[in-house]
Amino acid sequence: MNASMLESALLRTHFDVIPFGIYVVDVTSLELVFVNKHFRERMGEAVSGKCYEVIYASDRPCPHCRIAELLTPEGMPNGETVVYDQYNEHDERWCQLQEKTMGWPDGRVVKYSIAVDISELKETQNRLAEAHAALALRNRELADQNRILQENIHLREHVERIAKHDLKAPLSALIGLPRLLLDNYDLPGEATRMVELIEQAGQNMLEMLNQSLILYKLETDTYALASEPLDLLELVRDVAGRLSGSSLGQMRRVRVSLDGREPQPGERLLFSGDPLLCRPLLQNLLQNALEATPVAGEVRVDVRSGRDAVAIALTNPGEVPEAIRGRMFEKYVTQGKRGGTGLGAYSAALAARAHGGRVRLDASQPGATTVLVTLPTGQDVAV
Amino acid sequence: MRRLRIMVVDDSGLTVKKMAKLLEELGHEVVHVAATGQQAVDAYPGVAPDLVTMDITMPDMDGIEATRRILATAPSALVIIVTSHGQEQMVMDAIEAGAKGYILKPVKKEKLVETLETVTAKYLS
Repeated sequence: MNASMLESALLRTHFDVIPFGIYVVDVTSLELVFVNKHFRERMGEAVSGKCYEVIYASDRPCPHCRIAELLTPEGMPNGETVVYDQYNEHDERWCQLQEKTMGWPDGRVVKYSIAVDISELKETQNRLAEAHAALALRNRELADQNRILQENIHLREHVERIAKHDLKAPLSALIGLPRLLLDNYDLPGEATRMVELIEQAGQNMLEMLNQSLILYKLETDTYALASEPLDLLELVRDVAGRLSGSSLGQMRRVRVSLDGREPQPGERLLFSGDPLLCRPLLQNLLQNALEATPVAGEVRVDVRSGRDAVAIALTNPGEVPEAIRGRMFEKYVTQGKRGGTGLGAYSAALAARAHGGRVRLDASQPGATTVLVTLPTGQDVAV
Repeated sequence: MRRLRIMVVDDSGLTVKKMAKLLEELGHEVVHVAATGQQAVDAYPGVAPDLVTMDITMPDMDGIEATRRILATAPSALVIIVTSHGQEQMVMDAIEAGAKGYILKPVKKEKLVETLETVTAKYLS
C-alpha cells in the first residue's frame, strides 16, 4: 500500500465513524468519490455516479450547488465552509449541509458534505409557518371585510347626504303652502285639521333632516358650536313636557329633580350650551329612557349643579342587555327596539363631546339603568 | 368536494409527479403543468384552471411574482403556494401577493385536503 492509498484509507475510516452522512464529490466532474458508512446505510450500497443524480434524483446539477464558493479562481480549495439547510425532493427529507473543499489523496480536488438530517426539527418549524400563514390569511380576510364595511358606510353616508339635500327642496313647499292655505282660505274644519297635520308633518321632517345634517357635521368634526347661556332645568322640563304629550309619555311619568330634591319656583341652573345640540340630546336620551320603561313606570331626571360642570342623570327601570352595555353609544347600536335607528344615544354622545362633556352608562344599580350626561358649565355663564 | 381542474407549477419533475399523483388520488384533474413562473403566467388565461399549486423557487420567475401577475389579470384566480420555504417573510410576501393558501413540503395528504376544502368552500361555493 503506497502513501496515497494509506492516506485515502485513513480518511475513509475517519469518515466512516462519524454518525452523520458524509459524501465526497469531485468538484470538476461532480462524480461521487466516496460516501461514508452512515450515508450508505441511508442511500443503499449502489452509490456511484453524479452527485445530483444519486442524491437528488435530478438529471441536471442542483440550482443550490455551492461548490463555486469553495474554490479559488484557480480551482483550488479556498478554506471556506458553507452551512445551509436543504430540502431533498427525492427522499422528502431536510438536511443541514456543512461543506468544504480539500485535496483528495489521489490528487483530485473534492468537496465533502456533512449532512445532518433535521427533518423532525423542520417539521415543527413548518407547522408553525403554516399556522403563521393561516393567521396572515385570516387577517387579510378580516381587513377585506373591514374595507367592504367601511365602503358601505361611506356609501350609506353619501346616499344620506344626497337624500338630505334633495329632500329639503320639496319640503319648503310642504311646509310653506299649508300656512298659505290656512291664512288665506276659509277652509272647512276637517280640511283645516288635515292641512295642519300636513304642516306639522313637514316641520317634523325638516327637523329630522336638520338633526341628521348636524349629526354628520359632528361626526366629521365640522360642526361650529354656537353656545349661549341656557337654563338646564327649564330645558329638561320643556323636553319632558313635550314628550309627556306623546303617546309614549302619556302612559309613563317623568319626574324632574334638582340635586335630588324638588326644585323651588324660580330656581335655575345656567350653563353654556348650544341649543341646537342640547335639546335633541335630552330628547333622545329621555325618549330612550321612556321606551325602556314599562307602562305606568317612572323615569327620573335629576339635574345636578357643580362648580365646573352640570350633569343630568336619567334613570329608568330595567337593565340594558349586558351584550351592548360597552357599545351603547356606538353608531347603529340598538336594544332591538322596533324601528330603532341606533342613532339616538350615539348622537347624544357626540353632542356632549362637542361641548367638551361626555355621556356614560351606569348599570351598577340592579333593576335600573342610569345614563349620566356631564356638560362643562362654561366660562361666560354667571350662575 | 367537487372535482377541481388544477394547474401544477414546479420546476422539479419529481414534485410534479408526486403532486399529480396525490391530486388524482383525491379525485382532481391536473390540466396543466408549468416548470417556471413565466410559463404559468403565459398558460393561465388559456387553461383557466379552478386552482393553481405554485412553487416559490423556480428559474426565470419565482412563484410569488407569478402569483402577483396571474392575479393582476385574473383577480379571482385561486393560487396555493406549495414550497419548502417556511420563513416568515416568504409567507407574508406570498399572502400579500394574493395566495389563498400555504403548504410546506413534504406535502401531507391531510394538509392538502384541508387546504383544498377550505379554499373551495370560501371561494368556489
